[in-house]
Amino acid sequence: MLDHMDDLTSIVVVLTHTMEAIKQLFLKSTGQRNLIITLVTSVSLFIITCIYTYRLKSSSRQQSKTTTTTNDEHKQSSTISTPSKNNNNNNNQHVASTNESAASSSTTPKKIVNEKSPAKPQQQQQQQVTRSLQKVIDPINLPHSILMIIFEQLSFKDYQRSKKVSRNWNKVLNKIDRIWMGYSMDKWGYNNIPLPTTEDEQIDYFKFFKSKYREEQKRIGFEPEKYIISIFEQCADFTESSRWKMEKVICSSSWWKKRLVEEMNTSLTLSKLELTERNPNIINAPGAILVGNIIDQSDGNTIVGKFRFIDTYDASIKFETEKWIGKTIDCPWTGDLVGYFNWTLYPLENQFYDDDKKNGKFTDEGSVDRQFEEKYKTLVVEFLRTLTYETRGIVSRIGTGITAKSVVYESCKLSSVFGKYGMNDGDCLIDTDETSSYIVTLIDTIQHFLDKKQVEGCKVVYTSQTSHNPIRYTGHITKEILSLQISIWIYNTIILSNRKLWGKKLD
Amino acid sequence: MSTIKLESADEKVFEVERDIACMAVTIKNMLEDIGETDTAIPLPNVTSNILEKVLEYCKHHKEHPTPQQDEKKDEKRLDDIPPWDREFCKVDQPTLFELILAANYLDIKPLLDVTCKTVANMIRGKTPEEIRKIFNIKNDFTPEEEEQIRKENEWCEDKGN
Repeated sequence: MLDHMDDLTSIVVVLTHTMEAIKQLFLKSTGQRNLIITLVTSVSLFIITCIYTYRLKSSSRQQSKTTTTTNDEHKQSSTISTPSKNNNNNNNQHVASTNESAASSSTTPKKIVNEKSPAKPQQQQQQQVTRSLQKVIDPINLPHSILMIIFEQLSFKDYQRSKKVSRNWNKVLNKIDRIWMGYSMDKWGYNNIPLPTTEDEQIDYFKFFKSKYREEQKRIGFEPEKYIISIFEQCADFTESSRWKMEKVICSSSWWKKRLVEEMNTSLTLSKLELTERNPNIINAPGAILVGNIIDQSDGNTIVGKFRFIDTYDASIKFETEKWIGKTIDCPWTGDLVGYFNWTLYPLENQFYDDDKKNGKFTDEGSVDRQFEEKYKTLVVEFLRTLTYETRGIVSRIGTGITAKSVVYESCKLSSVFGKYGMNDGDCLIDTDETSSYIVTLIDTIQHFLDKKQVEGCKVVYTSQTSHNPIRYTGHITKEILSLQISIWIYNTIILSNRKLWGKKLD
Repeated sequence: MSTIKLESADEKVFEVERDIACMAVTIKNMLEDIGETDTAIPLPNVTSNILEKVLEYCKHHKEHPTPQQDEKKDEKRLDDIPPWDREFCKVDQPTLFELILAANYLDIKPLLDVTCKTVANMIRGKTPEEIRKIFNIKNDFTPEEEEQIRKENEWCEDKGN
């Protein structure tokens, strides 16, 4: 095109010079001069127009030829284009063309490539394109939205630990502070995290998480005692004549800790529980950390052990690796888990005797078991029996995985269910209140069993005028029927015989 | 069965069943926008080898639909990757990351979930040194910086309770 323009300019220049020459030649005769000038100008203009039109046409033909060639060349040399069709913010930032000049948003239709035998130039082209896409080698370079998905799958500890990998990891992970809202929600639930009240309000969830976590760690950062038992809401013997029946069910959100201490102390004769905290407001407050001592009443108030109450949530964090945690007994007479009682009874630990020996309390060089029997066995047995009976819980020796249930579903011979000394002299009964749903259901169950066996004229009854087993019957039951077994819920009276659990046989 | 054409970043065109391609929400939306077309849909952010893997995933899950599981938000389960998906994710790290990006770009949630879970499993419970080894990352902290970060993270360190 530029060449054509040059040609045109030269023609114009030549014509201008010719005009000047004519001017000089016919200067004297004005009339002739004007006529000649007009003629020459007209002829020149005609020639120029013709030349220009011809050039223009020829230029246009040549241009179209050139365009086709360029397109073909372009096809061969083009690499991947990266049109911004990506709707996701911050996504696929890694995909970038390294050769921007070569990149083009080509819309030329392409043929379907035979995947199994691609042509060589295409292979080269593909390799070129693959090279031009910057690969992600370090996962931290993935878009933040994806990092969020990855780290949401992990714990906050993994997240914090990952900040120590490298400077880049640290920098990037510090930026993704939105993740702390998720971690807070996972740990404490949606209802227990602050939410913005206005659209503009920004909550620093990292700060919130850190503060709440520290608070939690203070609560659970204790050295646990040796044993732990779960406390269920339908604890036994929680009803005194002066109290309302409804108090039999304790509630996890109220003063269950104080209630258990009171009920235990009502039943214990050789020992007692003594809370360190005396302020009733603190004791009754939900979530209060309550600790105390187990006192030997018969020996001048000697401390024979210590205890602590643990809320279910705190226990689930503190003992998350223990198998017994969160376990319940599938018994209709236990109810929901309300918390845990964690304790150490020094007489059960050998260390206690070593200390006593040092203090001169034991001069006898006999075995630890014998010393134990002599001094504290009765106290220990009474304490553990009362505790297991009252709580109806699952007892465990911490760190050993050894557990035992206080309440069990057992197959018992009918002969051991009835009679004065039946039900282990009445000790197997979970409840002894005639009106309690346990006793009512127990009597119904036995009666139904007998009816099913077509034992006629026999009625299961409850007798309140006994300190032994209250479950009796009227009428006649054959020996054959009495030897049959019935499955019922009972208190595990042999729990203290578990040598593995207690370290010694207590019964 | 109707098919559509998908064109990878390296200009390789794949002819796939419409239903399989529509497992990618991005493609589904594109098709809804443009209607019936014979022109290959360009996927400039996905290379052919990755697109091939993605289509393999979609094809498998189209033929073997995963039963709907109850979503338990509280549980961060990492062991629930189905065996086929676990095998599918056994690729070199750059490929895995590219699969993640492709799943994200194409909006294939199950693929994004499974690939992200695979990466999460690589990090889960690991020490910083182990993470460095896994991803071949250089520790570029100065001792002073390391000490500072250790102090910053002290609040959540296990103290052997």
